[in-house]
Amino acid sequence: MLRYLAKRLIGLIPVFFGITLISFFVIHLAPGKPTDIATSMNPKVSYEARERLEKLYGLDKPIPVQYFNWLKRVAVLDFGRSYIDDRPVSEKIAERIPITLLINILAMILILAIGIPMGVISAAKRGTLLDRSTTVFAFIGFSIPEFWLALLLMSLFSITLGWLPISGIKSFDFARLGIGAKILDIARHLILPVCISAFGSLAGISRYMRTAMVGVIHQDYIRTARAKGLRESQVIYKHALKNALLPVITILGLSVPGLIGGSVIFESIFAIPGMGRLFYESVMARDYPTIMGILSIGALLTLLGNLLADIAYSYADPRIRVTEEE
Amino acid sequence: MKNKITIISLTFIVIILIFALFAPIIARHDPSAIDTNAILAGPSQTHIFGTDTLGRDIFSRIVYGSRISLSIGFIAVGIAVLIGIFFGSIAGYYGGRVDLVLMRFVDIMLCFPAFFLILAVIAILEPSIFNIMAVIGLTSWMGVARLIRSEILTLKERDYVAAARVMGASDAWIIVRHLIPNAIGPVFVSATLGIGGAILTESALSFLGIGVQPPTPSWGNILMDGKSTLGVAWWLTVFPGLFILFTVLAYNLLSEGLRDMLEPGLKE
Repeated sequence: MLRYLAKRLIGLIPVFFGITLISFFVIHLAPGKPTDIATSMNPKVSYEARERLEKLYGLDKPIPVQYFNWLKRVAVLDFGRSYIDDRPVSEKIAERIPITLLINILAMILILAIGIPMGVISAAKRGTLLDRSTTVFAFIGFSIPEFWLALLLMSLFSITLGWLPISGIKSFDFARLGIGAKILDIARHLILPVCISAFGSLAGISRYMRTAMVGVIHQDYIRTARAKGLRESQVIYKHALKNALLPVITILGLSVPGLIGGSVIFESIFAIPGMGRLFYESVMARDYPTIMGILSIGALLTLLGNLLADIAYSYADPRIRVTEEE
Repeated sequence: MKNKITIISLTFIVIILIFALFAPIIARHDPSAIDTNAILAGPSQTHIFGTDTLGRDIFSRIVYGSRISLSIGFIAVGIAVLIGIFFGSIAGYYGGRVDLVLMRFVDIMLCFPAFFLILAVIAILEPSIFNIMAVIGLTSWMGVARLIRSEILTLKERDYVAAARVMGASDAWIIVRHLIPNAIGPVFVSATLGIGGAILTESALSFLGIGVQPPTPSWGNILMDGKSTLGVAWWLTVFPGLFILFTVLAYNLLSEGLRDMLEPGLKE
């Protein structure tokens, strides 16, 4: 198992470099420079001052050299300083990332806890009303613009009914609340963002789970299990589920980038001060170091998700471990 | 039952296409005509979907917006399909090291939080319709590449390919004339699905204010206008959203219908 893990980890390193390389070039090849906003558009700034500023940021060097310098600094976990407020990028990301991670992890748990049983049940009870309504639900989940759903639910629960707070993650009187009330307050703020970011993937996962399950149910070993006289619940949950889970695990790993990408939208709708919001602000201000920092962290999280999926996969199916180790 | 759903979806798709093609005839108002006497007017006989903060007719804006949203969907997917077919067929046909490198590249692209990259590129390059199409296309070809590759991997072992080779056909001829036409079936399924996805991405970008720029209406930026008046004028948010939902749903259901048609074995 350890050897398998090590092999997987090493395989991820080139992917990480590839992602940062592409991001770096795409962003830096764009016409114009981030210093333009402060220099060309300002008549008081002399040509020399502009050159000095570009030199300070290292923007005067060829892009491959810039990338190499960036990489050298990242190796010691230094993402540089933000162009906006000159604070270290790592510090800016560190204070914004916990809330984004919290929302995404909660969403992931929700997806697993609801999506998988939903898929299994609709596969086991194929053709029933229940199955058909989960299918309809899945298709709507695939097709709905999530930000639109967010707006509608926000206007229903926060404006019309007044049950939930409109936006942010804390109430104004947060500091005066007790520990229990504080947790409750944050939870009330997070209900909508978590549920909505889970919604789209939830539909997808339940659909994949159903397809995988339907495929497994027709296998010979399931017939054998039934012929042995096992209870139906045991056949479904013990024999079929374990095998049907395999493809779903991979899909789960692949859904991480979508969740991270979605955080930009949710955080701006619900005014949550997370990494997505920070990314949006940095993009608007062409704050290259912060953009690169967040893209790298996003890539790292995605790879981590894939790695976890691989581990889960090899745990569920020992054949993979064995063949890969050879 | 399934056929009925596919036909309904197809009908809806055709209706939206007619909206886009004949927008000037179907829309009863100029989509950018400002009417200060009818600011935020609710749905009525003159304005069936109401008006926005400038008194512009929402229905006309949605009709004109379908031009933008649909062309972004079609062209972005067209770009993705072309790139996907190109890389996929080369990887599948030549195999070996070429395949390894190309598929590694596909893995890298799949690990991108694509929406972050799209956002960064468009904000830096300035949000024009052309940039949006190109960037969505450039970040969504990987599925097609994988499909084509796996099809070609099996197709290239067929006798007719060997026959073509014996007759002196070049690699390019074999790939373009013999392999791609036979491998293209599943691509239609994924392309149809992709149109829905591209429409959703465009609307999300426009919603963040870095998609299609006003005054040009797209479904996403009509929705964005509605954000600020959510509690006051529901029609600004509800109608464009429903159009996005139903259009994307129609493409997704059509894709499901196509899959059943192409792979009858999967039918339950």
